[in-house]
Amino acid sequence: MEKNSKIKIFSILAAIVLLLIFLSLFFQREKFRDAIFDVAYIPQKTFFFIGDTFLNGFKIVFSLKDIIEENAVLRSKNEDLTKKNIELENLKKENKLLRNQLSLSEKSSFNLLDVKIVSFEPSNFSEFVVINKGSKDGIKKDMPVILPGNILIGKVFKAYENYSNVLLITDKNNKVNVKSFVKKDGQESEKTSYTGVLNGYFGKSLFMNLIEKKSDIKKGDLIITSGLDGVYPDNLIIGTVDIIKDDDNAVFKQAYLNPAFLPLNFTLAFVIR
Amino acid sequence: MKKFLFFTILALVVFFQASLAQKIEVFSVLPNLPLITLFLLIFFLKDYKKMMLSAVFLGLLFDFFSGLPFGIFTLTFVSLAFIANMMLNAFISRENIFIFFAIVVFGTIAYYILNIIFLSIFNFFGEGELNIVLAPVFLKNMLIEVLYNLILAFLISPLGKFVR
Repeated sequence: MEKNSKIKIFSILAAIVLLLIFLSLFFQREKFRDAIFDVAYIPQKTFFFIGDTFLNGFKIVFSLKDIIEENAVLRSKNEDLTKKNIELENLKKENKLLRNQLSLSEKSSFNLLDVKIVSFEPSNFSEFVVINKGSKDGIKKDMPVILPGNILIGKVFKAYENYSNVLLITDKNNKVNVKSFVKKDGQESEKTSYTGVLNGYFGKSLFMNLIEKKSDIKKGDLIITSGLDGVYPDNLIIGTVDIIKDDDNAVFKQAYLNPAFLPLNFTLAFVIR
Repeated sequence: MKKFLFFTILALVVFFQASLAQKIEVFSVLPNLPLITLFLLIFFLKDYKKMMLSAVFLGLLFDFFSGLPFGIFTLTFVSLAFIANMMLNAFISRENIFIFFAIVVFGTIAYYILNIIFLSIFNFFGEGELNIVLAPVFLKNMLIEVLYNLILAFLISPLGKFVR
């Protein structure tokens, strides 16, 4: 093919793409996008299922010894947790009884909408997932998204009719006000909570900044949302402290966190409305 | 029928990228299978029109799954296909398979550069709400992706004869 005709084809295609971009800015493309997600979800889920089974099978073979040891540890932990669970159940009953006596209503929980993660960001430039519900179900921009167990994964970035894009907390553009979790009983009672601002860091990690110099930050500390940013409610689990940076010249301490929501699968999540 | 099958395979590559690729990430970096497929088509496919259409198709699907402003990846893929094809025809021979691997390396770097340029343009016009931060770790990610793409390209290069 001649050079000129190649340039011609390129110019025509580039013009079409630019026209599509231009049209997408002014016209609704939600329906088209919805249809693509509908079609894509089935093969994607199949791919994921096959891959998951395959990789898990491999992992099991190579870590059989570890699994046996882990099983013994988990058994003993399970016994402890069963005991604690019974204690908690009793406390719950007692609490309910006392609340009734004091005529207090039950502490309000979140208004949750269950959603499913249907796809993941294909590039390495940002951190997104797509969920299977959108504006039709009442989802709006900036609504927090959590996993079972109050583990925060991100917030709604764009809500289409049937689907929504969720910006994960591991994205550099997502900022969350956080604090450390302090147990109210036991030995940690004297330890004071410290706060900070968190954003995503390349490589599915989290970076916590603006931690006071005097704070007693330690590896393994549990970090939760503080609720100060007005986007995320307080007490949602973020992750645990992994690496602490404490430079003499720096005004604040910094830390890298392991996110609690990883690894993420095609799984059930909840949008807080 | 053959064309339908061809584009179905391209669609499956993007579906795979938006799902199972998460399972094969290395140091939290994903390989870019649609990009490797595009390089494979650039190098092995003789039909220029089909190659350019494939670039648009792969880019559009990629854009639909990405949270970045719509059109960035389509523009990047089409530009890459055009530039790489021109360079191949003007300066380099297609006979040597190592040229294909060179395309993967320099093409992946060019893909990063083009994406940053296009995202900056979108941001300039107020359409992009996200910034790509050019931190050293971003460059590290780019290098890992280049290496990862190169390894995968090496593994799938025998498929080139089917493309031909």
